[in-house]
Amino acid sequence: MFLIFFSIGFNYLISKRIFPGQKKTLIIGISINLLLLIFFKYADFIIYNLNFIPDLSLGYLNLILPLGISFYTFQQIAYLVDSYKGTKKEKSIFSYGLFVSFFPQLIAGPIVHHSEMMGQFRDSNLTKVNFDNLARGFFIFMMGLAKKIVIADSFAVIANKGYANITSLGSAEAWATSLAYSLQLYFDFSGYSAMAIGLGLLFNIRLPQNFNSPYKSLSIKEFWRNWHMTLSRFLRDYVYIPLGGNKKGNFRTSVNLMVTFLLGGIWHGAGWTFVFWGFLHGFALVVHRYWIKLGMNMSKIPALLLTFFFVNITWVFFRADSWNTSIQMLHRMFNSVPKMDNFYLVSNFYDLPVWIAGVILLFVPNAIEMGRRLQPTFFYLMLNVLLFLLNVIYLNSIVKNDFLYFDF
Amino acid sequence: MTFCISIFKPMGNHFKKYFLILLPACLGVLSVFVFANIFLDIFGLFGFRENARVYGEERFSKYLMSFYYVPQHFEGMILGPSLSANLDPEPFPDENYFNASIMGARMNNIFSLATNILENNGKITKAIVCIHPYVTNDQGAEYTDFMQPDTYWKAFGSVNLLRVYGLGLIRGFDLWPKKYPKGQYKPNGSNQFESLFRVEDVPGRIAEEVTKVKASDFDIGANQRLAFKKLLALLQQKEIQTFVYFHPVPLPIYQAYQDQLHEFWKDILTGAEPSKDDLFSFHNFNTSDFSFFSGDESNYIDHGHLSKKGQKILMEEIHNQWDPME
Repeated sequence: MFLIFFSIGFNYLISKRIFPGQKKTLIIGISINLLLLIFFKYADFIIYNLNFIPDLSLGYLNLILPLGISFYTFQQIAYLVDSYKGTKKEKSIFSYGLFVSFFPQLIAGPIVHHSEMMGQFRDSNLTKVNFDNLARGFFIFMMGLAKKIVIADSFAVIANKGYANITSLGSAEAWATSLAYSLQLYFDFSGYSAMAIGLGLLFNIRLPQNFNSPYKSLSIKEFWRNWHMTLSRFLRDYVYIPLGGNKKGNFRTSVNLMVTFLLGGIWHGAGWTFVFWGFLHGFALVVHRYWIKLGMNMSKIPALLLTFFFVNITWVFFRADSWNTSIQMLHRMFNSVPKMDNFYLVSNFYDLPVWIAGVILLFVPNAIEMGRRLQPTFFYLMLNVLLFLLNVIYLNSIVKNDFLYFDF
Repeated sequence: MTFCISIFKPMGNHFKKYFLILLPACLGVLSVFVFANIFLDIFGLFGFRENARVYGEERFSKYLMSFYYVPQHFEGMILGPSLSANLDPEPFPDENYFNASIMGARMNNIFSLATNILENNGKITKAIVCIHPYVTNDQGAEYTDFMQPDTYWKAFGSVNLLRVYGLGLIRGFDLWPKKYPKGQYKPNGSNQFESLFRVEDVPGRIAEEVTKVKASDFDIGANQRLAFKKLLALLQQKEIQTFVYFHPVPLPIYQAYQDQLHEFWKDILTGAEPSKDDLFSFHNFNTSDFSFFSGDESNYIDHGHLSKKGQKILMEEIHNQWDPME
């Protein structure tokens, strides 16, 4: 709590001193934000790497990662940069504090932009009961909660067991584990985002969409337009474009893409596996760019499968707890390896209907689209009531996992 | 980048009516669901059911039955892992026993279950406890969420409860007899799993097990040792007449690991010493006197679990060995 109060107070005060042309203050502001993030999130990673220097053996700090630090740090860096660009600043510290700490999106996003939030906080209709927003917000929240606790947590059982027993996995089990994790991560994070958006609507606040059915994407570029959209937007506006974007020739564009995605990788976690994951995605975007430039094309289904399986394979680096584990998992996925005797990745099929529902949900309108389509009809009423009942039942059951993106 | 949320179209007053119906509808449906579960009372938890039984999700079911149904309807209990789970207490003529053994149970699970049964002021006066190195070994022990007081609330409506209903229907209508036989669980808690677990070549399986056993399998884990101590203290405090027996392993395993088995039992007895009084009786079935049983492979269905014939003999032996104490 102290950290977020300090962060809000510091950024509010320093933003008052940032104007167009005052680059030094901006750099100080960004540096202090980044130092705090580096200290809490990356200190042990830096120590780990320093310890490779002969005769150096530094002790780890083992700091607990403050909830949501990556999200509110990025949000406030964006605010400082916008202040430098001369956009309107927030006069009241309370309004600014509300912008940073608005609880639905505080801990796992979406990463919001000052300009899209402050107008809403000042809107005179904010405190009026809006049944349209209440109904849609409640529905989207219930959809998000169901995605998390019903679907993501059911896939998590397989993914967690697989990653905890990599040496026991055969090729089929390794694929099942990696696919289960891909689905877990999507339903977990997009579920959380939908919950945040739904909660926001209950308070008459419209948060930006964060996922738009990304596994339906036909290219890696499209994937990043639909996955964690607010992070993509942040990286585009505050890293890629300031680096020159695509305006400085082909080679420089490729370098900019790689730098942006390497940063995106390290933002997700303090480890070389995250850096490599970012590298792979950056590289894929560069390849895709040249592919398009050469005028090459691919039909829909192979494009969808190629994109999905590329993303699925790269998630191995994202999920595995070490480099070795990632390699072991990929080795099992791409070589014919028998599973160990007496090891069963799936010990029962109780969750089969949930798995099927999860796969179907990938191809139907997502929670936000459904929220947009919501009509005050008996059908939607029953759907909402059933979602509520389903969520209460699952919340009262012994199949729970934490939100994945709380760690980032 | 499109932010679809910004193009929600307001629908005016229709949503007011919709939302004002939605909230009571949610609460109403939830209440109906909860009351239906209480009324069905599948675990005999709320006192509405005289004949509860296990249909599946064994840990969950037996733990919930341990709140009310077992303490109020039975005078004795059998505690242990799968090795004792199929013991049918029916032949015990004078006492009404419930077999509270759980598949894969370790001593900490047994202690949790026994605590719940005995803390709920029931009629239980006797207990039979099955001991085997598996029960007291920490390796691979599962610390399940099911054996905690919070589990009580899951009986009002949870996925675990719905699974039990599903399994109840499957067994009740005999829909999948090969996997979920109708009468697998008897009303006294005995799990008649012989048809599911029986291996074709019992001597072969026993011989295979002889080669698989490791020295560390006989170690008593610190957590399990503590749980066993606590269990004995609890049984003593509640004045439960208790028969603790060392499950008879097949003779080839006994012959190969005789010393380790004796050391293990000695260790168990040493740990139990503070609790030794008239209430407790300890019996080791892994002795040469009992080789008539452990040497007969027809008493087993695999490398340790007992056949119907084996169960019957063992139950009689327990009865005979325990008689002098009474």
